[in-house]
Amino acid sequence: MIALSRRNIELLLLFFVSISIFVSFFLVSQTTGQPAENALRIAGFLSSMFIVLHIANRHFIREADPALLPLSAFLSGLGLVMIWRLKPDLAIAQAIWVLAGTAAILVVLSLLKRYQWLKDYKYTWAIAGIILLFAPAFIGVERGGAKLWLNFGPVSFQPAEMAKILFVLFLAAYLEEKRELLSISTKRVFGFWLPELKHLGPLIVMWLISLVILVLERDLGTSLLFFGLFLSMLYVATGRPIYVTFGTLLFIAGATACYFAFSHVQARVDIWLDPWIDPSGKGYQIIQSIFAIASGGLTGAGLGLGHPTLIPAVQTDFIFSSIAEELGLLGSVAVVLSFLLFILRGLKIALLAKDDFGRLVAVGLASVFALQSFSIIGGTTKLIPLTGVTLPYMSYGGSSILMNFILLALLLVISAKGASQVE
Amino acid sequence: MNKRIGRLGTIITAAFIILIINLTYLQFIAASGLTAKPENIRPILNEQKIRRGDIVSADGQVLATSRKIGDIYKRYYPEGNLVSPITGFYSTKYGRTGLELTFDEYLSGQTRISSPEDYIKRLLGKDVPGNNVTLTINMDIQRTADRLLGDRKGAIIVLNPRTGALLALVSHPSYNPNDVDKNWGSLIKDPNGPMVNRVTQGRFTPGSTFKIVTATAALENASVTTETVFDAPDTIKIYGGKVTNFEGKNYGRLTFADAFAKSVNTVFAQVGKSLGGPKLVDTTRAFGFGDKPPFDLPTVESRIPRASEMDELEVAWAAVGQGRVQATPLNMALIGSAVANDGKVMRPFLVEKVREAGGNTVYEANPRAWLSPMKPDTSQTVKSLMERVVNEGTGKAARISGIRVAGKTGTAEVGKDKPHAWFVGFAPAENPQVLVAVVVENGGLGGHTAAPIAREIMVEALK
Repeated sequence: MIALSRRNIELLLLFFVSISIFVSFFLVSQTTGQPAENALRIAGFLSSMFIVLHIANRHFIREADPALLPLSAFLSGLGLVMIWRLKPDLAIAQAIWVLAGTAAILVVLSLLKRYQWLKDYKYTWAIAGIILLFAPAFIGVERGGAKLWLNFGPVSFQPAEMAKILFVLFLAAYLEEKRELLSISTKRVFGFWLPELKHLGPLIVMWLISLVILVLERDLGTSLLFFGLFLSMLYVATGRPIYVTFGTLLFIAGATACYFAFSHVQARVDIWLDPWIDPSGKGYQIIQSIFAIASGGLTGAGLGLGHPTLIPAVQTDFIFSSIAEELGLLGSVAVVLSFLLFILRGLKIALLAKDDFGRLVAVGLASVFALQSFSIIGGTTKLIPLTGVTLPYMSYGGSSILMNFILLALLLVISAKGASQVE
Repeated sequence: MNKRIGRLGTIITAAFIILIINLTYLQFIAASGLTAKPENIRPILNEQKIRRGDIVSADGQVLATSRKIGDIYKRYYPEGNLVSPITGFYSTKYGRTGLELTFDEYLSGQTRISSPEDYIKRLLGKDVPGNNVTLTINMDIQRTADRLLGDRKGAIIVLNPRTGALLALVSHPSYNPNDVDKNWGSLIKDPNGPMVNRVTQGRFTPGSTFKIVTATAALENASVTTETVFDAPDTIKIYGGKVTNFEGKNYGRLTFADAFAKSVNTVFAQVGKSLGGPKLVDTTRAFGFGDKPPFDLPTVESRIPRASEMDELEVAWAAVGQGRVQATPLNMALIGSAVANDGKVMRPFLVEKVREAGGNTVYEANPRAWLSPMKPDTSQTVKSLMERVVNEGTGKAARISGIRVAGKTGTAEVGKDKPHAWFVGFAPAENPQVLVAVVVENGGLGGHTAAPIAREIMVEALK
């Protein structure tokens, strides 16, 4: 048996992904009556982007993880197929964002081959993150009840996407430095051993930030995302479940207060509990999503042959429902497993990382990715209340694509370092 | 730290497995139930892409077809009002009725995939047309019956008593199935009920046509023969009340056969009284009362109260088809068909065949008996009674020269309004080919209003 090098494995996987992207685009052109040349053009463009990234990996980070790029290529390829099928006009814009994402990866690979210096600027990242998070509340644009966007001329940008990565960098650096201190209990409060209050400061600050997001920006999803991210990094860094328990209790308390204080939070939860109370109004979107998913059955309606456009905002928050409708249970489970594989590769990278900062960054990025994909897939399938976050790599949306490509680049860089020191 | 990263991985994996379990539930276990919810318009959108099958009469006239308009097919009914009680309507907004409802699976082609080509076409999302439905309805008879009923409210059913095959079905007023979406508001509010199929779902007081049932009960229970002589005064008193003849006529004394021919209520009231409630009700139920007749269109059951719910007076009135006795025209036709068909009621049907677009037959009607309410001897006796009705009794207007016609008139009193005019009859009596049941709401005397309609239809059908 020939042992393939990591990069050759990546190339082989990309080859299969490319074939499936070409076939999918061609099928959509046949079923929706769009020109087949366009299908081949977009598929060719996407494939060449991934080949460029593959070559960059060979050049900059030979030992990087071989599965991450093919997985994200598969997910973003399928996402673009669905966007082209749902709203053909938006596919070009999305393709341009893929181009921007590719460029961003190239930048990260060339600048961050040594990423340790990032931790020296941890407070810069924290402050930048906070500014980005709260900017929309003051100068942003409201869409669908949530104030999440900044407009720059024709381009609108969702800064919370950028803030996620900045917070991961800050928390990784902060926890690497303070994790010893946070692991030592010096005070006993209500029967629990707790560390010095000053070390608990960031926990409380993060808790407050999460609640403020909820209140100011009316965004349950982002709020939960930040808090979940913080808790999982804190747990991995300190190994003290008390933080998780205490933090969760605090958040539940805050969320319950919000449930009673804000009608939009209440409405979301009520619709989740029983969308049939208002099937043509507030429950319309989730009910249409459930119909789409259910009508997919085992093998799906076929690409371009279902009716996913009955779901409002299908190309952003509900793209997963359209995949479930047209590719069936087989397709939807394939997508869920691809996300899981991506996350588990991320955690494996954390395990193999030689330095604690890299380890914690990898844990944080994998957690963000997990929280985000779980909450939107869970939301569109009515497993949990719906929160308006994008599905990484798949949803239509520039900031989401760009940031998830940067996330991919960071994981690749960390994996290359871990692997090179191990071997 | 690594142990905790492992734990985090386990938690995340567990969460994603829950996602997969939930997806399996939605897409596999609960899928069909969710897809069938009325709020889901996907089935309708999918159907509009399919060329729904045609509905065609026995003589090859297209009654319902699909026309492509842009990307989707629209349903079109070339005959409009004339056959809407049969075809029903097909609307993406308001659902479907009639054959469009009962034969929906065939018309939409969703029954089964019969050939590998069909299957491949379906996989590719190509247009697999629905099946074509051929009826037993003869459009010449249908048009004649429709014209004869004219603007009057009422119902006509024409069938072959030997097979149960319907030749015509008319219900007035009717509606134009092409304009259902446009006129929905006024159609459902119309007090005349244009969308109710009076033949299968309208219940009427049957009046004297019901005496076919009473006569059967009396003859089979040996309480009378055709020659039994009765007093036939204008009025008889029963249990604190009275039964009167129509227009208060006194017939003196006459035989049971004469009483049937002249439709004398006071004689049948005595017959009913001596039979008693239980026997009358049992015989009535043997003719299908209390059951929805099996048919290709939705039906309702005809009604008679339980014997225990009727006093002697009500039994006497029930014996002449008044009181709480309520019958559908379909059921009255089936009662007549038992007489015509040696005591057996054939299952009524109006779909002869269903063929795939390629010509393959996927459904074929199979005539079979539904009920056997009369002994063959009794049916011959009642037939002779009914022939006398047409030859010398109340049904003379149904006489056809050279053809033996059997029938029974009915003039069903409905309070202050004019009575409903009924006629149930068949011809030729010696070898029945066609049976007609007519009811004209508030049409007056059965012999004057309904019998001539039935006569012309029989003439047309026997041409």
